[in-house]
Amino acid sequence: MDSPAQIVGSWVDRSLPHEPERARRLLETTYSLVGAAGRLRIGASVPMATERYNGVIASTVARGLRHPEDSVLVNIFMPCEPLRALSATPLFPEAISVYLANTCCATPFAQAAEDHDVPETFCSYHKVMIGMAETGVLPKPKAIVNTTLACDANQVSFAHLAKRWNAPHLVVDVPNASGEEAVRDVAGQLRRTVAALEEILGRSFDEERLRKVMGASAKTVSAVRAFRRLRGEATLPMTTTGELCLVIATHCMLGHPASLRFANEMLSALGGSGGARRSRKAAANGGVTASARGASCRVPRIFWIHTLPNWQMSMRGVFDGAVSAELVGCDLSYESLALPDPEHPFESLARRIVESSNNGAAERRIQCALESAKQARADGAVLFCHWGCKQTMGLSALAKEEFEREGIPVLVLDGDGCDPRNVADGQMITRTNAFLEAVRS
Amino acid sequence: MSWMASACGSGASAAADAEAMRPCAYFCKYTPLELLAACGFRPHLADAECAQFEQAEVRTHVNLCSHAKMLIETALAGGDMVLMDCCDSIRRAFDVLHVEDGEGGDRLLELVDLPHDESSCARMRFAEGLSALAATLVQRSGVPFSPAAFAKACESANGQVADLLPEEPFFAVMGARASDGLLDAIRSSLGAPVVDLTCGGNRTLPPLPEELRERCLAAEMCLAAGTEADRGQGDGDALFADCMDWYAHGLLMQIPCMRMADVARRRELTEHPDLVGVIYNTVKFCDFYGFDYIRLKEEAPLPILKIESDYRPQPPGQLSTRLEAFWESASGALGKGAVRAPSARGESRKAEMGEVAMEEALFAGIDSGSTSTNMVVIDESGEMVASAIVRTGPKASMGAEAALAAIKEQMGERASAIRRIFATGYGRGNISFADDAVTEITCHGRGAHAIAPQIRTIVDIGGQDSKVICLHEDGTVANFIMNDKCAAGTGRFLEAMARTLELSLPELAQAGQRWDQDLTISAMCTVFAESEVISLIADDHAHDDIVHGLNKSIASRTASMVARAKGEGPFMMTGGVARNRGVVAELERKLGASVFVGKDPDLCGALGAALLARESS
Repeated sequence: MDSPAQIVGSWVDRSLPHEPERARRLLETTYSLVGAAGRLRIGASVPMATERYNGVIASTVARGLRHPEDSVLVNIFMPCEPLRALSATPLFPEAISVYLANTCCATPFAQAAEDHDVPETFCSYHKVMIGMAETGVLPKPKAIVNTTLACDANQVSFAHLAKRWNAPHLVVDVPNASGEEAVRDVAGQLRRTVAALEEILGRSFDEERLRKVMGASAKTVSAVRAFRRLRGEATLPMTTTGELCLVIATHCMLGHPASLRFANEMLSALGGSGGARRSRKAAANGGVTASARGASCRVPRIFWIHTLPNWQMSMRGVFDGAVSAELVGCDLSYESLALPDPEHPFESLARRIVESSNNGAAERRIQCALESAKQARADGAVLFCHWGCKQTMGLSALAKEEFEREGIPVLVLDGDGCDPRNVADGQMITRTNAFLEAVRS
Repeated sequence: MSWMASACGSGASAAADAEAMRPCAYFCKYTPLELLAACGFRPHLADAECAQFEQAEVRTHVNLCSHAKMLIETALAGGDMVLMDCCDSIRRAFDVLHVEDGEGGDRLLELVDLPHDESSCARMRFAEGLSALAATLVQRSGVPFSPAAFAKACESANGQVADLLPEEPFFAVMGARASDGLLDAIRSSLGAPVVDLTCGGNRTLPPLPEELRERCLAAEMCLAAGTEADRGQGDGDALFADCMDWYAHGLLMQIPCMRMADVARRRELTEHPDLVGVIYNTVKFCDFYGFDYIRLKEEAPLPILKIESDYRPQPPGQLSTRLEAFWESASGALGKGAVRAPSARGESRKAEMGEVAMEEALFAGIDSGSTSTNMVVIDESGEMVASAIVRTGPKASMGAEAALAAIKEQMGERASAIRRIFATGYGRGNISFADDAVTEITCHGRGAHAIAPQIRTIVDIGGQDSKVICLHEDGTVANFIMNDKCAAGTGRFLEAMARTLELSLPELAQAGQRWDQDLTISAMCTVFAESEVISLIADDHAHDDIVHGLNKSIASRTASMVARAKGEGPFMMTGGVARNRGVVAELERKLGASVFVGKDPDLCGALGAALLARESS
């Protein structure tokens, strides 16, 4: 029997050619329901916190679909606090595509993009977003804003959609170098971007409001930093979705109160701070401290590099809930944890992207991931080569070498974060299980 | 840093002496070639094909851009190189090479940050990057920056794209960088000048402003006379800064490549009135230019052929079929006929068959495909008088001989009345008894038009490739696309799946028509799809349901090709797979239109060749 997600996916697929607005309404309603279900989750355990926060992200996607006049299409590395201060909704390809994948209908959109000559080898997240636009399901947003940081897909897909929709398009060019000069340059560009958005959205920008949002961001980043520092001390029933939630909480949703709550709940699942207190708190929130972990129930602790295929039931079966392997972190959650300074909001936002470990040489990203993996006491790492991501594929061999030099074995796993057509499920699971067996032995 | 303080006449002249300069590979048109020349280096564009990417794939990943893999293979052979931070793949290629070389490696290996726009901030940042590069270059070469060499190198650069164009109708290769081998293959297939307007060929630099040029020459004279100290250190530094400021702007003002934020000026590349067609190159796993192709297809009223290359030697058959078919359909713009003048080919056949003076005149077409070789004979009115379908076997020439023998057997003495034979299909170049060869794209168009003149789009799925051919009202080819790099969606795909399901091809064609459960085979790759089918067999799904899923998969890929070609009905399907009713039915469902299948769908190409043979006599 088909699952509810499969049924919705099938409805959307059938509506696509001639009734895109019906498909949009179906998706909007579905994601609103996910949001409502999330609000019903009570308690601060990891699974409850994850579902609740997942609901908030789903609601954001639904709102973006329902109110395109308030939405701004961005890339995942674009700092979105100014959008929050302008009461605009950020929509970004990774969220759109992952929710479509979990609604069993990413493929028809990817196919629709290819029907319009988008290369088959293009990043699936962006391809699905373009397909959604080409079919008329994704409405024209008020504006498109992207950084040039990290991902080639940003350079072409947003420009393509801006032209297709005749929508205002703003680009923040991030120099391939760290340092105060680069920070000043990007801060200037961000100021100009916000000024342009003020005009496009027809709203005045209140810097005081931005400072407040940045205050929430600072608290969230502090909580995530602490979570990263303490992650090695406990076992948590993390999931592929939970790790993705943390990535989003530290990127486009940073500054949202729900992100702060989620980060705090994750931290408190580890016990927050303090030794003995941490043990008691961790146990209460679904976490088990390292000392309490018995050798018999020990499962491999796996650090993840790049995005996670949470649509794939087989992979969820392996990694969700720390039953056969425990996810102990994802490098994207920690790629830029520069502490926001509400008194210097634009400089802080610029610093976040300039100092991102994804900016510049592969070595920066590898070292940041390696440090996180060590802090999390990872037994092994999975480097997920999402279809079309040249940045990640390009550093896979270097990362494997460096991690393994430090005693952390790495599985380079080819897959797709949203499009099943590029996935050999059986092969993926066999490779993953074989890797876990090797790590255990 | 002082750029000219340590300079003396010998340093400057060393920079000007090409023989004494260090060769330095570059890969991007934004590379500061003139700066390299002014600092003792002799830049050369690295564009050679590689037989294999073995070392690059070990160090990175098989799905990295082929251009970047070529770069790694080239770099591992040694030599100085300067890279621009163009894209993810090049950045990672640099990372890998940097680790490989280690700190303080012997050769020059630099990555220069390239802004994404032409704003004043970007210009300033780029100028700083160029200055930093100059410092490294001077240190490595031991040759100080020569203002005169810089001015001279700037003078010899192409000022604008128009300087690259011939004064007669021409074709342009556009899109991603094309290897030397690919450019040679394109030039030899088209009967008109071909200009390389890819990023490897469209590099320009505006003229150095006269005032700056004079300052450069004057500074050089001072250096040669040893009077730099008299002029003061500041003058040299100010001149260098001014040069770099202008230079950064000049480089950024080129026709933008696709990684730039604003690519509107790329339109200039296709606005020349003498441009009659575009061969649009995309490189495997480089996604930038696919988007430029979308724009060009929508905006430029030109014949465009899209090809995909990967910096490895191209299989000659695949590329030549596309290029020849493109020439056949686009050459009309040059006032040249699609079919070449009669050649001396076929003389041996005439001698052997004995060209008897008979009143009857017959014409033949032979379609040498990967699986079967099909031959059709028509009379002067175009009526088919004989046909044969034989297995191609291990050699195209053997299959052709077998088809000819089958025709002779059917026709007896009458076969001597065959006046002209045209060959088509992948093996068309190896049929010695044919008078001429035309691609199967033109032939399918001609054949389909004869069978059903109302047809506007042909879907041809053969053993090893699938094509969508859009026709004008007169049956000539408007445009076409081919998928021949991957077996998915072809006859080979169905053969592989039939083997997995232990069915014969006729059984497979039957099975797909009656099904209960609507299964979907989502994998795009034949190997992955086979693994998916095996999983479905293991899950005890009925053969009928699985075959229906396979038919849907082929139909989906094919309908996508139709969409990309902007094919419109009425539709016709040709090729062996057209005999599979299950596939045709699914394709009809996907297209939302009926698909006409002729009595002998395999013979359409051969019929078209026979008709073209008749028309050429």
